[in-house]
Amino acid sequence: MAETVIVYRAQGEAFSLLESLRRFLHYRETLVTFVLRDLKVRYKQTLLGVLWAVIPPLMLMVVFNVIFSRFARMPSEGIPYPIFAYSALLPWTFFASSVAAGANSLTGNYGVISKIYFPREVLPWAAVLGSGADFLIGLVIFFALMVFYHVPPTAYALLLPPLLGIQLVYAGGIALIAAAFNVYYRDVRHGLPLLLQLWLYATPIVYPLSVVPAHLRLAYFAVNPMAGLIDSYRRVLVRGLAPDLVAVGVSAVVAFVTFAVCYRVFKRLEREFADVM
Amino acid sequence: MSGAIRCTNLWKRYRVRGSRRYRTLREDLGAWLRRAPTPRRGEGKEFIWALQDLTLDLAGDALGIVGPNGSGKSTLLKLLAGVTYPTRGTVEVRGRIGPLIEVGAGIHPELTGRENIFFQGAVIGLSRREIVRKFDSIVAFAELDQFLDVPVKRYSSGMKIRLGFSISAHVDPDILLVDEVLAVGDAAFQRKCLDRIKSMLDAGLTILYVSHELSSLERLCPQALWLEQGTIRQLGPSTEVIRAYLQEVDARLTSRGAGRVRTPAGFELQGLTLSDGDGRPRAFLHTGEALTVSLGYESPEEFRPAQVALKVLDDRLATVLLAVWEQKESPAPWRSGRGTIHCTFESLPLSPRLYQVWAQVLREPDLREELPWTLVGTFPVIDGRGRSQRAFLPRGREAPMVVVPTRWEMEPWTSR
Repeated sequence: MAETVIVYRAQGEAFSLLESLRRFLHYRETLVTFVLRDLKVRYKQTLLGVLWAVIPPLMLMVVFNVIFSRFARMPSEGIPYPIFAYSALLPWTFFASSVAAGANSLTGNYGVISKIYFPREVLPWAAVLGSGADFLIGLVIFFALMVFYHVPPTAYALLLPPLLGIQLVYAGGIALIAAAFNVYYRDVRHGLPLLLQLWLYATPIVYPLSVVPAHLRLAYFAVNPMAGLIDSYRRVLVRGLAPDLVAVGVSAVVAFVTFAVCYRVFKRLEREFADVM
Repeated sequence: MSGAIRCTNLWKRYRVRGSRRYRTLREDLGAWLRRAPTPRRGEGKEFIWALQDLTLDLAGDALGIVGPNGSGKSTLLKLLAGVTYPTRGTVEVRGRIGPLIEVGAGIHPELTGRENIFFQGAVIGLSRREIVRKFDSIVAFAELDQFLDVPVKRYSSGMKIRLGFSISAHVDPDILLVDEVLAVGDAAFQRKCLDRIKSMLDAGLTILYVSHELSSLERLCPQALWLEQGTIRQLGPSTEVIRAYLQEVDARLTSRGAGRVRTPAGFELQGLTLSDGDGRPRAFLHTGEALTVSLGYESPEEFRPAQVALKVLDDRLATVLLAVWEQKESPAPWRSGRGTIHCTFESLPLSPRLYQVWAQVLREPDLREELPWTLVGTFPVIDGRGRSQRAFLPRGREAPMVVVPTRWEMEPWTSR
C-alpha cells in the first residue's frame, strides 16, 4: 500500500471504458459495503420490514388484475392475468427502484463524498444492486404464485440470468446519469417518479406485446429496451417459449450503448460533485 | 517515512455560495432558450479563488496550517483527500491517506455505533478482519461501550465526534488530515485526541493539521504554514509563523469582531454586547467578575442548530473557556426570527489581557459547521483592584492564565 502514488490533475484523463471499469472493480469491497449498509438502513424502524420488498409489485398486480383483467378484458396470452402481470411487474419494479434509488444515491451520501475518495459510480451501482435484493425476494413469491396458478416453469426459465444481466447494464447506465444530473438539477428528484410511471405504461406490462403492431416493434425495442426485456421475461418464465432474438438483441445493444454513454458523462461530471453539492 | 504529499502550482476555484445553492433546470433552460450565454467558468464575480498557485512539499512531518476563515485551509485538505479536484496544477499523494477528519464525519444516523464502525472502516479500505481486530480499541478510545447498539442519531454531538475521530485515528493511514476536529468535544477528549495524534506523529506519519487552536498546533507541529487568501503568506518553524500570525491578528483587532455574519442557510449573527453579572453593558471587565456575552441573531423559520458554542481565547489564541449549548439538552425550544442569545460565565478569574470571543454554530442533522468558528468580539480584562495603568501584563509564558483569590499564610513551627 505504501508505494501507491495518486496524482490529481486539473485535467481529467480521457475516458476509457475498460480502464474506468477496471478501477471501479478495484473498489468492489467498497461497493459491497454500501450495498449492505443500504439494505440494513432500508427497513430500519419499519413495522413490516422486508415485506416492503414484495408489497409494491403485489399491490400493483392486484390493482391491474381488477382494472385490466376484470373491467378492460385485457388479453393475457392465455395465462392467468395475475401471473401475466406479476411476471412483468417483478423485473419492472426492480428496474424502476434501481433507477429511483440510484438517482438519489449521490445527493444522499454527501457526508461520505466530502470526506473520502472512491470512484463515485460505486454509489449508484450500490443502489442498483441493493434493489436486486428486493427482486430476489419477489422471485420467491413469484414461484409460489406459479405453483398456486398451476403454471409449471420450463427449461427456458434458465435464461433469466442473462436477461437480468442486460437489464442490470441498462439500469446501471440510467441510474448513473440520473444520479449525476440530480447533483446539478434537483428537478430530477421530482420528475423521475413521473417519468417512471409513464414508462411503465409504455412497456408491455399490463398489456401483451402483441398489441403493438409488428412493423413498429423494432423501433419500439430500440426506443424502449425494457419492452423487449419484459416480453422476454414473460416468454421464458411463464409462457415456456424461447425469447424473441430480435427483441433481446436490440435491447442488449441499446443497453450497452446507453451504459457506455451515460458512464462517460458521469465520469466527466464526477470531478465536480463535491463542489456542486 | 511512510507518507508524502506534493502540490505543484495548485489553483482551486469555487462558485460563490449563497446566491444559487444549486441550479434548476428551468433557469438553465430559460437562459439557453434566450440564447443568453450561461456564465462561463472563471469569469466575473461568480467565482472565487480558494487557492492560488500553491506549491508545497511534505514528507513524514507534521505541518500546522493557520490562517483566517476562507483562506483556503480546508480546500487544501479536501484536494489532498481527493474529494475535490484542482482547477490548475497537480496534487501528488504517496501512501494511504486517511479520511478527512472533520466535525460530523460521514457517519450514518440510522446505523448503530457498531455498524458505523464496520461501515466506515470498510469504506476506508480495511478488511473485515482488520476492523474486528481494531474494534475494541476504537470503542475504548471513543468511550462508547454502552451505546454501541444505539442508532447514531440518538448520540449527542460530542459522542458523534468521538466516534468519528476514533475510527479515523485507528485505520493506520500514512497521511492524516485533521480539520479543526478539536474545536468540539470536551477537554478530556481533546487531550486524548492530541495525545493520539502525537503518537501517530512519532510513528512517522505525515500530518496536516488545521486549527485555530494555536497553542496545541504549536506543540504538535514543528512546521507551520500561514495561508492568506489562498496563497502562502509564510512557511517555516511554527513558533515563528505563529508569532507573525498573532501580530497581524492583533493589529487587525479593534475591539469589534466580525459585525454581521450571515451563513448559507440564512442564519445571521448581528453583533455582540458584553455585560457584567448585573446586566450592565461593559467595555472591559475586572478579574473575577461575571461576564454575559449577548449575541444578536436572526434565524430563518426552517433553521435548527444542533449546537451553539462560544469560546474565549487569550492573546496567544489558546482557548481559555469553552461553552457549548447543545440544543438537544436545552430546556427551551429554539426560537426563530430575531432575538438575542445570552451566555453567562459565572465568574472569570482571568488575568489582565485582551481576550477574544469566538462563536460557532453546528446545524442539524449532520452537525456540519453552519457558522465556522468566527471572531465575534474582544474584551480586555483589567486588574481587579482597578489599577488600570497596569492592565496589560507583558505577554509571555510566565504570565498566568487565570488569577484566583489567593491567601498566603505563615505558620511558625513551634515545638512543644
